[in-house]
Amino acid sequence: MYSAHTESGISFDLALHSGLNGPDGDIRQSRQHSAEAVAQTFAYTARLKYTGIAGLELAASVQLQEDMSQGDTTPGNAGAATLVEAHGIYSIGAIKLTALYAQWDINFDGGSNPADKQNGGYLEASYRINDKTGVFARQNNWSTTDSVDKAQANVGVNYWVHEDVVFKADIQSQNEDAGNADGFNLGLGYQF
Amino acid sequence: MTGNIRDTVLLQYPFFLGQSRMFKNLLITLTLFVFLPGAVQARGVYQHPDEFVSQAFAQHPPESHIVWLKDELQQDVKHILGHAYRNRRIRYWLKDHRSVWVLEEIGKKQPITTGIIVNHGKIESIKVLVFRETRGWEVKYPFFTDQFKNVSLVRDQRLDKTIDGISGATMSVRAVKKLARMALYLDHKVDQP
Repeated sequence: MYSAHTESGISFDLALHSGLNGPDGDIRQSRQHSAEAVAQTFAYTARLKYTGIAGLELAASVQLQEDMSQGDTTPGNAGAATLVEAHGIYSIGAIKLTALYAQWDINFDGGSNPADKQNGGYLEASYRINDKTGVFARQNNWSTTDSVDKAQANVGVNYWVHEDVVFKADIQSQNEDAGNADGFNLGLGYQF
Repeated sequence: MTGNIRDTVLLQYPFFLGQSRMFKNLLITLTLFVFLPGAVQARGVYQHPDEFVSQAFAQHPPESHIVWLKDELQQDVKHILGHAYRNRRIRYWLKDHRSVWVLEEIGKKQPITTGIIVNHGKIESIKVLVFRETRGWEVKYPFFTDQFKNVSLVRDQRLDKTIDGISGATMSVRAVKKLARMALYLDHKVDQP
């Protein structure tokens, strides 16, 4: 990986790494474990980011997967794929706003496939009440196959027991396409 | 094919020659960008500490003094940083109620060397002098450090003003904030009337 930045707040990163392994185009299931990754083909990622204004981050990334089937030439398999992503984050005082959008374009052997275009994004707003507590709300929308539009909303609270450790709790609501999995989540975050 | 990385790189080299014009063009563009004037690495010595001190006193710095972190000072500094400071002996320069400190605190893994000027109990300026990590370098920018101007301490050695953070530089921001608090606290202790 290579990273550099300019004095005006523009930075970029270039990475060469192992790719996905998922002939059916299921992005999530295509992720590999680094040490066990099949590396018949690679992936390349480039990111451009701007942080030259206090509290603002604007970034865009492109990732190219050489072959999502890692050399498996079975007819109908996913082949080369491209991911484009863009996001913006703006923090002012105790308020933080985030917006992100990403889209996959996957070439399937033999022509079109319901999963050849996948996209999604989210909008999030958070408020840090004090050193210990914060709240957030997030709206997620994503589509992994044609004519299926999934949506989920989350509202939650964070509690920092230590500056590096946070307890998280949120409730979620999904639409029918996403599975109507309404409920709550509990989590623990630790940064090191 | 064996599937190992070496064989894969050699066998897949023709990929660069013809299979992805879009990414090849992007890679070339970004590679040129690397060599454009102004492209720098995150790590670096932005200003030598001796030069910072000299500049702070218009090239005529006073004799330095030493403050020992022991007893109450040691406990209070530990409270500010969340851990004991790496040195028990801290050098500083003081003239006309204006003190200059060169302090270090770890961001994520490496120490960030920071110069701090305190004037009559308020921060006059903060400057990142040496940055040793690959992420979080944005703390060197004036848009971040200018927030500390005229900041002072309130109860519990906290800053009297909210400092806006930097996305992706949380730990570097936290380190600089802690050093600001530490410098203000030590200034209060050494610049007694």
